[in-house]
Amino acid sequence: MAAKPASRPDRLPQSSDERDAAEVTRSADGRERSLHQQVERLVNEDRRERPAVGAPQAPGEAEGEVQRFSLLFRVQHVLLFLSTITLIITGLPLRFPNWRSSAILFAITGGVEGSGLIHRTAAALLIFVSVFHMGYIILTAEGRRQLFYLLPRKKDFQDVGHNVLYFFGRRPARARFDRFTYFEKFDYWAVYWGVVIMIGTGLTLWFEDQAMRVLPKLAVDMAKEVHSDEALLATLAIVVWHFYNVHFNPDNFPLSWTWWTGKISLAKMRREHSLEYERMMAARLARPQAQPAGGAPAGGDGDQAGPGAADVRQPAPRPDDE
Amino acid sequence: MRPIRRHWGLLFFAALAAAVAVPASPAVRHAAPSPLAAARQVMPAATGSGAVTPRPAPQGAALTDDVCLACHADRALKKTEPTGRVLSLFVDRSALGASVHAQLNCVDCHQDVTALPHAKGLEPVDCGRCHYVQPLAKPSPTGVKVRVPGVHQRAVEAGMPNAPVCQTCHGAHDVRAPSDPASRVSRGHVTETCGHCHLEEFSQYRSSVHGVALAAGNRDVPVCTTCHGSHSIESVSAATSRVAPGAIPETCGRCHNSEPLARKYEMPSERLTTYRESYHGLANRFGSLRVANCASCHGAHNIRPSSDPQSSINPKNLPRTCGHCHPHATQNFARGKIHILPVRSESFSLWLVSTAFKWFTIAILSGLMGHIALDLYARRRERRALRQGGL
Repeated sequence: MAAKPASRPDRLPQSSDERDAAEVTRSADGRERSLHQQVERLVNEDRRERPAVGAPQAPGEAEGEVQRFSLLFRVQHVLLFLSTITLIITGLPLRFPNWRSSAILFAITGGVEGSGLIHRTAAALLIFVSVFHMGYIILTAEGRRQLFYLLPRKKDFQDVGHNVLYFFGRRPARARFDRFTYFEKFDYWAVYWGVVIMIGTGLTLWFEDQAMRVLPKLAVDMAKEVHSDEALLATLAIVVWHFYNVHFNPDNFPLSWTWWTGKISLAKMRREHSLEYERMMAARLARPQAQPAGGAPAGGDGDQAGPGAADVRQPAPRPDDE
Repeated sequence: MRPIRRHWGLLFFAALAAAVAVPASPAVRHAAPSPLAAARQVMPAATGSGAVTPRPAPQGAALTDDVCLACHADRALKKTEPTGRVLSLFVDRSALGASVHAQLNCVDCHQDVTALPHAKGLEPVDCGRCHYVQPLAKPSPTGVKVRVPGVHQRAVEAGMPNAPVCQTCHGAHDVRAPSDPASRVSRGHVTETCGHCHLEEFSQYRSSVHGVALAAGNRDVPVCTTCHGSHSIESVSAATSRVAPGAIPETCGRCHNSEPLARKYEMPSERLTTYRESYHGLANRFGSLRVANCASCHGAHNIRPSSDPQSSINPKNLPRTCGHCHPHATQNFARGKIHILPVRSESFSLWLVSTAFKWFTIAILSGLMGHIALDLYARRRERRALRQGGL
């Protein structure tokens, strides 16, 4: 029976979602609330970081934490950002030569030739990381699993729409995500776009004499233009978008340590990757308590609970998980 | 007798006037002697024998020009130096009268002549007694004080034979103002004057695009002093030189980046800008000495238009020009504009790529920042709900 709760500030429900949500039930603490209010309450509870008591841990994990990223995963990311930041610092002054910081950088590094040397060293590192990563996602089981979770799906596009509607107040809660949210997938695949362009044009500029044996000068001029423009785009995307998602976001501000430790708190996982959380906890609860034998760390993702567990291939997140 | 005694004052003054008026008779205006002929009268190089001390003005009318010219107006007058070199001591009175120093007496400059006969070897005249440039730097052995000791000045101080002094370029007895077209340092003649010693540069310049235009009477093209300066000429390798690798772009850019001149001569107007935005220009700006500057590709004195088959920037010659630094350069180096900017007037395709990327960046960043803004807005709402939730 739909009764209008006294203190509810919203307007009358318009869509089917909201009509369902308006069903009032008696929630756990005895107060009458609509489903809408209950969900919001849960969300807000999570924000107060109440510990998930009794959640099963994998060996090597501290209480309340999950190992989200393996060491190999983190090392690749560190190498990636070290090389990228170096490339940005040594490259941007060439695009903005009138800035005071550009003159300072060139003075420190020994002019264009010195900063060029550093730039090309970092570029070599980036090429190495890229090739290594290709090997990782193709040749290792762990890598293949990560790639599987990173593939864009219809649900991601639906999540974008759902979140935007939520931002405008037309959905009761945010979209629920599996291991990687749509913005994390965007961050990942955008790197492919950027790296292919930057390495392609960068090598053309680095080995200009050889390139101009087959390319006309205009092509090399284009390569320079594209290299410069894409560098600016990638820099802005990283500094604005990626840094907001991982650091400047009010949940994580001032700094998230997951990239270093690889760990994520259970509460945060429940909040940000709830589908993965549910699946992981279900898998752990379903298995008998496996004692650490052989010391396999909980690498890769939380699905593997230990050496005794079968390597289950996780099904794709169900599309009705909203 | 009686008229002379009565009018002795008048007679005295008439005699005095006659004595003064004769040497000051107006000079006969002959055609100016050729600079080459005048150069032979140039004083020998300074021997660095010490500063010329200032002396009182010459005594009376005893040493007038007439007295000097009594001997020195003889065309055959010459002296032979110990080295075997023969110097003409002829002074052309008409040239002297046409020069800027016509009002001076011989002894105003040749200060060491006090009595006749004078000593055999006179000091070189120190122009710096009158013509020194403030602020004073350290005095040189010849006593000429210049603002910055240039490469010529240093050669003189080092005692190099044939090192140029003032008289080398300006002449000795026929000094004219630089604005005088007959002057050895006027626009029309200064290249020959410099070319006296710098023969190769002079012959290259004469057939270059600038030299040809100069000979046709163009008043805008650069001559030697335009790029190199006149008195503080620095060596090309000195950092302060106007033709040092780091300064060449600005020196050339004074004309080749000028809108009015570009319109007047139908030249492209943004050569300096296109260079400065290119990799060569950036590297040059931040101190690289290896990278190409204007002269590396266009030459310094033998600048020819690209249509000239001998030009270093003729498309057929570009591989060789670029090949000086880029080994194995092929004809591909010439396929595409050399000076280029991503603006529509310079290169459509480059502009297209640049503009497309600009809008792509704006679109993506707007989307991302919009998402962030909405996220923050929603979080604010959640925080408010949290407080109102009463928990």
